[in-house]
Amino acid sequence: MSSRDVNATPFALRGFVWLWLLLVAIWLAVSSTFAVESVLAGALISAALAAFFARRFDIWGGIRVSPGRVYHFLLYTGAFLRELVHANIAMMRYVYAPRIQIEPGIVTVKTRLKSPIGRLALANSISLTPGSLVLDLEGDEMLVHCLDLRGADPSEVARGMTRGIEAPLEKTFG
Amino acid sequence: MPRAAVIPLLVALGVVFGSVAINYSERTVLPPLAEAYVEMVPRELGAPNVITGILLNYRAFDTLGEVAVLFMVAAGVGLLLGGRAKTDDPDETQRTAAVPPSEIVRHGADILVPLVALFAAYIVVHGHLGPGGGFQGGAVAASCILLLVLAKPEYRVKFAQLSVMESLAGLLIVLLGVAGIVFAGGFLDNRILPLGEFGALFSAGAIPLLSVFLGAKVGCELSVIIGRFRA
Amino acid sequence: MTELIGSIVILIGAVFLFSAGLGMFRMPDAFTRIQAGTKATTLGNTLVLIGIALYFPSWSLKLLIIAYFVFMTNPISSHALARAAYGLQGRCGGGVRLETAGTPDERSGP
Repeated sequence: MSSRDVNATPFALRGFVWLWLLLVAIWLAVSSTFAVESVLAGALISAALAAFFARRFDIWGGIRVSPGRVYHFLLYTGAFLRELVHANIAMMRYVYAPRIQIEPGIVTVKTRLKSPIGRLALANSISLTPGSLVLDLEGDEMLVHCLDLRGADPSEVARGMTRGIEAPLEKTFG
Repeated sequence: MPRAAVIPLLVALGVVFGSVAINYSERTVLPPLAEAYVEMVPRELGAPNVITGILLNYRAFDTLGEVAVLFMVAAGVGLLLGGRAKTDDPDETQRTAAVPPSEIVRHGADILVPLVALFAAYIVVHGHLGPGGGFQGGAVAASCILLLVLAKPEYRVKFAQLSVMESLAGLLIVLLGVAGIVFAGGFLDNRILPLGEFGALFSAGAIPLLSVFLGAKVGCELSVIIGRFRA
Repeated sequence: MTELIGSIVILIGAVFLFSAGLGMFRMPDAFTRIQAGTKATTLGNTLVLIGIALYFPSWSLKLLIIAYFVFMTNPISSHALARAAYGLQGRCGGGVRLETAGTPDERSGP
């Protein structure tokens, strides 16, 4: 059941369940109490909101959870955090240099991801790591603005941007 | 202005903020009126949050007046900006912006809108326990609508439904007030419902209920204002 | 002891936030300023939140949710800003070279 059916009930139901669980988890975390009335109120409010939104936004129906996917999601998180810290420190070097010597440019990056969540996660990861900023995402091409292309081959930079991030994302979200 | 001229301005700002920070001394004793309120609200109203207790009970008539002011603002904005028949045209199903938002923004809004709506509900319902209440939650709910308006050009703000909901919420607030006169001490007194256990979610009498109605009304009004600004 | 570590972490976060501001001041054009302004603030915010979590361990779950929201919304908003700047390229974005083929014709460079 990976594509949208004409009779969209199973699709919307799966979206409803995952959105409901996510909202209940957030409510519990934010109210930080397990008192019965709080949990009950949270469950009711989350159910109402989930029923309202899961039908209108298709993105929630595309969530599928399995142990393999959870493992790859953790891999992605680890790779991403390491990338983030490393690149932020490199960014500081640019900012505090006595003279700014950068050659910004725009490269085109190709992506294999198809699901909306996967593409969103990939674009977010690229935008979060300093030195690159997603300008547009259309079809399988992504325009990325790079801070410093000095001394590097643009296509090499394009390939290296998704290394380590796209493979776990593809296994998690498809 | 040339960049070097900014430096004296920054220094002056630094001096101002520095003097404020250095001369700041925390008040250790509350003034008498505040002391009285801090002692009265938990005891009489059963609400840990003193500010909400004052806003929604001791000075609740004021709050009703503020909501009326907000209604006047919404009406004024609607008068100035809403006079075009285009917004009510049933044939116009496709509203396109000059450069439509990219799919990243659209999918991001899809994910964020339920979370923001949940947060708005959380703020409204926990008004008597912590910072929050009707006005704050209503503003967050209106920001949901703002996000939808920005991310999806084809989203149409349903002015008719919002107006009906807003009027209904206002009516319910006044009914609660009258119930306060009939069953308890005065207009919008919260003791028409049991005070409950201190610090629990369903406590402090009618204050959570009043928060919900207020949140609905304020949210609808602000959403209408935001919707009017979009063409 | 954890309070001391928390304070140091908050200080490091503040340094990152300051470099974001400095970068926005020094960078030559719109895209690079957006990059400087919105990237380092993410890490700065995260470090400040981690420092606060060390101060008040009972708040960690709420702070994790705040950090998640920052991670989620910061790149989307900087993407939206940059895309708008790209669309206005004739008017504000000097100094950007288009390196590879495949850029849309109707939005060609300066």
